[in-house]
Amino acid sequence: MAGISILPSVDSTGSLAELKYSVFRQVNPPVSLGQVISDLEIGMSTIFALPLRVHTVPADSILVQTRARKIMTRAPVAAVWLLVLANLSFAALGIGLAVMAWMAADQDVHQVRTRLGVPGLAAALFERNSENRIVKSDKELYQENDRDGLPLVLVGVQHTVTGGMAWSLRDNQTGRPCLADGAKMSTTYISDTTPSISEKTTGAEEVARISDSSGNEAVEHQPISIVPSEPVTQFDAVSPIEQPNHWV
Amino acid sequence: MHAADGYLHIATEAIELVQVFPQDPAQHQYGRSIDPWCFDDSETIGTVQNKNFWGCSMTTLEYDDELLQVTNKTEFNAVINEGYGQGIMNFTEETGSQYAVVGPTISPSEADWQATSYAVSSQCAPVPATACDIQGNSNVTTDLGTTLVPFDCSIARGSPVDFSGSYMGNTFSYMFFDFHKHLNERGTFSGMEGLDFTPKNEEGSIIPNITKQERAQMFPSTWRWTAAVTLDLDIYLDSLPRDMVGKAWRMEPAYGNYVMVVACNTTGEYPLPRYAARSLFFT
Repeated sequence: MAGISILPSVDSTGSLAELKYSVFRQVNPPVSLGQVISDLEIGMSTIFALPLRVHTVPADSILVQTRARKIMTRAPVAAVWLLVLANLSFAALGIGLAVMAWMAADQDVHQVRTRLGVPGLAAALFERNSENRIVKSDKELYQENDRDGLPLVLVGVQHTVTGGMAWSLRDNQTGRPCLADGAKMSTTYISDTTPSISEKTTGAEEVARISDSSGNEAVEHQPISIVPSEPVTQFDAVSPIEQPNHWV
Repeated sequence: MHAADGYLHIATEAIELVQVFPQDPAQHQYGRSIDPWCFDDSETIGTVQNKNFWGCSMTTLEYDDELLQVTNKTEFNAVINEGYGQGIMNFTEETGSQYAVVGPTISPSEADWQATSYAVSSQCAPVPATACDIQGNSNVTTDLGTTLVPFDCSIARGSPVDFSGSYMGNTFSYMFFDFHKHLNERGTFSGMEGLDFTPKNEEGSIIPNITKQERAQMFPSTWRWTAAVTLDLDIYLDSLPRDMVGKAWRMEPAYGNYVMVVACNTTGEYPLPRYAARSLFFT
């Protein structure tokens, strides 16, 4: 190897004479002693290495690799596991509460729950007969009307004196207003539409009386399925709402 | 849970992931090895063009064994024409040692690679003017009238080497002290052409008979040389860098300039054992 480099590098053989002036230009103008020495060292080494380019051939590499770059997310392990554990414990809490609730739930809870849904609330408005019974599901809150002879009730709304609207039920055959049993809540206000205060008062008294006479306790507090249909009739009979209503 | 989620969001950061795909080293020849032709002495042994004597980069002309010429001339000239430093990679060690490494002919721009190659490294020391007798007013001239400045430097006075000779105004010249067992240059910085053979007049009997086993003794492993560089000072500063005062040679009155003389050792390195284990060529 030395032989390859040296002989053509010998100044007097002239082979690399042109290139040595590149080293000269690299050195000049001088900046410092260290820089001059350093430039000379690498400059002459570069010249001496040139003959080796001619007399060497490509050889296998030791290692070759290519790289690919991707943008990734890095998060501390603690943060990830903290989130996972927090979620798991939250789920466990939910399951625990659910089990506790299931264990604590009795018939009363089921009955209340059934009535708190939209079907339960609708039944409380329009299906007092069925709504009071012990029910297993939403379905049983409603009376089946697929048999002949059962009175059909029209559901509507009517104006109230306070300018709002209220539900109004009307018997399909008689056209008389009717309300499901115990639907006292709207009676008073619907009666506002009547022009006579006395009638209203009467109505209120009547309602109170009917409630008492028809076993108010049972109607109000006991979810008894056997609610006599008489109160409805009675109620209708004494209902002050006989004036023309605005059916919508 | 909100705290854990918040912590995750705050602690999360985007990073660049670098995936590495190993490639078959045999498919990527970024290393260099000596052309096997260099070791084939079968055609030249027994002649004055014996490769075991000359090496494979230069030899004498067949029709005139007084003239030396590079071998593989077409390719050699192509390399020279590419210019200074083409295909040579520079590398500086932590210690400050600089290496000129023979690079691959194909530039692997997209790959990281590691390969063995040849490198040349030089260490130079200044030959201070204070360590030499420099006779700028000797009035000695060559036959052509060029003024010579004889000098004599000694280790005793602080020179890295003992040497003497004559400077004759070359912008930049360098000289090997002992580059071959039987060959040496004529003069010192004198620009004299030709090489001297020692022992004298025994070329014909020695050169053809150098065997393969002897070839390693022909060239030294460390090449000792010296160089004299004319300092082209900045006209506006018109002064030497401070740390070169007393080091650079003032050639007056023969030449009105400063010359920096250095003595150097150069070694060839293969296969760069210290660097093969490191990512020398990683892009």
